Amino acid sequence: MPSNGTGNPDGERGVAADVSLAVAPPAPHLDDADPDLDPSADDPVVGDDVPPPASSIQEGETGDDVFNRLVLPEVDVMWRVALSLTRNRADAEDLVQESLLRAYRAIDTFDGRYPRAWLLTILRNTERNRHRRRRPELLREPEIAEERVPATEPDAVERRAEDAEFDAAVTAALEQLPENFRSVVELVDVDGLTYQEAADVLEVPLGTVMSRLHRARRRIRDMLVPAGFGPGAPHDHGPDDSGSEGGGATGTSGAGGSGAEGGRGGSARGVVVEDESR
Amino acid sequence: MSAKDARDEPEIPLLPPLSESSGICGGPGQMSCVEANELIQFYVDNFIDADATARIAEHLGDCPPCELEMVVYKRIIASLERCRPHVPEDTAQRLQRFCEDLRAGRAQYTVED
Repeated sequence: MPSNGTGNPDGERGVAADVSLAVAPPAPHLDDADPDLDPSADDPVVGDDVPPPASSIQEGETGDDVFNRLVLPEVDVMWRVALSLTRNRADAEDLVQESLLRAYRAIDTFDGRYPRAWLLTILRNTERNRHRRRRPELLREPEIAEERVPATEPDAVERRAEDAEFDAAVTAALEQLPENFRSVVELVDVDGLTYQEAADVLEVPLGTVMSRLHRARRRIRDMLVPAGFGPGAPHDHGPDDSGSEGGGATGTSGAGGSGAEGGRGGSARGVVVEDESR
Repeated sequence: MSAKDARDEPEIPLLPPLSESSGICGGPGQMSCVEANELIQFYVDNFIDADATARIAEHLGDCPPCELEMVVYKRIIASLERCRPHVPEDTAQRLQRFCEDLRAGRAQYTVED
């Protein structure tokens, strides 16, 4: 994968794989009230709600050393996430710069663990502050932000011909998703964040990320069928979009979960679409 | 829509009795298609424990339609990954310069403090 150029190995999604489904926290119904835009969630620039774990800072390391060792390797990821959040290259670059500045000033307070999570927290808070500062009227309706670029920019160089059509269909489907679903797909599947990292960036529970991600992929999959891809008339059991947020979609959810599935009925593709279009 | 749903639904028992096989898959003690569909994306993300992984893998081996679903999801995810944007060269250079400026500035702050 010489073109990847990110320094991040594939399969990073699985970093949090030791979190088994059974312990996924229950999540509220996400679509009713979106906590993404809750103005009361006014955190300081650097999240300090987590007590500092054992430091990974090495003896004699200066702030510059820590910055070089732990921050610089994350700049690419920061930029991709910034692009997903702003959907605009100029804004993304500004956001990364401002975040780097804040990170640099706070480097002495950084315990050295989970640099990506730390930086993404800074990025997220910086973006919120920028957003509020510059366009407070858009705080609750990011959909009407005027300037927008597709977050995904297919790199055709190494793409095989047979992938190109499929990728175009997938990208087109992605662009049709509602914002809160699309952003999760962008952060996890396009940008390569873990579920947990995406949850932190979006400030939603882990279970909400999983639910949105799976429902979004399901919709992409459904949209591929009329585009000539996908399995056609599905072996549709329909439970994918039963609305069970969070840990509900587990094999361990027991009789209660199964009953809920049954209550919503089986092959519900039409229902699914209506649900998500709200 | 509802007519189609009503037609499709009976083919997929939501809670197949454990005592009898529902057909090509979901036999006694095995994972049902409903369960498999719930877990299929966790499976492709490698986000479920070994036991659940083994159970769904067994189901997929017995159930071509569910296996096709899995393949489609894998293709979608691979496609999205191919769309990962790369930092443009000029942006990367500006950010690098910015970091160098930060470090240069830090020495002054230290002196002033």
